[in-house]
Amino acid sequence: MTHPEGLRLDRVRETPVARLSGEIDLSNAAIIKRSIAENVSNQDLSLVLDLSGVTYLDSAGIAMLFDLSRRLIQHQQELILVVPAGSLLHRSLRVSGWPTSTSLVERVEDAIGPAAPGDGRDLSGP
Amino acid sequence: MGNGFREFTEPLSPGTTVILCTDGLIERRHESLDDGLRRLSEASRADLSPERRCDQLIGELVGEASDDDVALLVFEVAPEDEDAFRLNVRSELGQLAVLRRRLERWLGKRDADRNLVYDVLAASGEAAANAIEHAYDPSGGVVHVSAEENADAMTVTVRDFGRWRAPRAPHRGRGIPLMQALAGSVEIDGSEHGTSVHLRWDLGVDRDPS
Repeated sequence: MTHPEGLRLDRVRETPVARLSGEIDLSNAAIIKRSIAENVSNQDLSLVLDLSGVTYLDSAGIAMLFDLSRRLIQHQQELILVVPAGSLLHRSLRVSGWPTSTSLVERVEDAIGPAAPGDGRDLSGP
Repeated sequence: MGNGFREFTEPLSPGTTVILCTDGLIERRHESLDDGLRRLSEASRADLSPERRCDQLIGELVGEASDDDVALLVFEVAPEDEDAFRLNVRSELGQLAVLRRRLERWLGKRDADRNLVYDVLAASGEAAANAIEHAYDPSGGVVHVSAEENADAMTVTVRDFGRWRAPRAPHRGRGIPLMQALAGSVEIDGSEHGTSVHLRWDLGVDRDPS
């Protein structure tokens, strides 16, 4: 399956991680949302969305985040955003009312937790 | 109507010269219209002001032998101005990135810090997205963006020539509050001739660093 430009989907210790880069606006937000949502299964506890590489996020992109979050919550799942300190995205997220206390972290590892001993390899493979 | 005339919109870049004429300028007996158009394009190569070009074209192309009325209109789109930014984009979603690149380049020539650059790009982008989504019927139209900076303020105006329609898509509910949060002030003027969104940032005031 091909994904929209700027979207990479993988799993880190079984947790789905979507890494976005570049610009997200009204022209690509819908297709990105669909691709991300299709990568989350009912078994997953959370989805980590890494926005470290995102240089621009408009209100359509923010609406995408709220919509993904709402859909996950309906399934008792959580959306965790990775936004590094100093990112210009903080401002747009804050004024849009994104709940920063629980669902915003600075690194993917902060969302997933440190690797346990002997857990260095990706065990989800065959 | 009904005999092949078509209305269309063509964004013109700064510095472009447009020549509109009646067929009297180029049509000659025993000659195809294409030959006449070719003569016109050859005669238009010289770099002249619109006024002098009018004289030159009439002089070169009409001569004495004309037996038809001739009307000629020449105009030039103002060349790019270092201090002011002007851009017309089609009302298509792909143009949002075009607008950002051009505006970013203009802002890059100024002393704007990265927070201000982001805020200007993002607020202008929201205004343009609104115009692209809501101003026109599906055949589309043009969105005009201008920006200026003086000692006191940076201002951006996003203008469409369609009809204001209340936003329908759910994410648009976020667009206007986001624009208001990112810009120092926002004014929206809507009329039956179009909508103008005026964004303003006062310079020299402390900006929220986050």
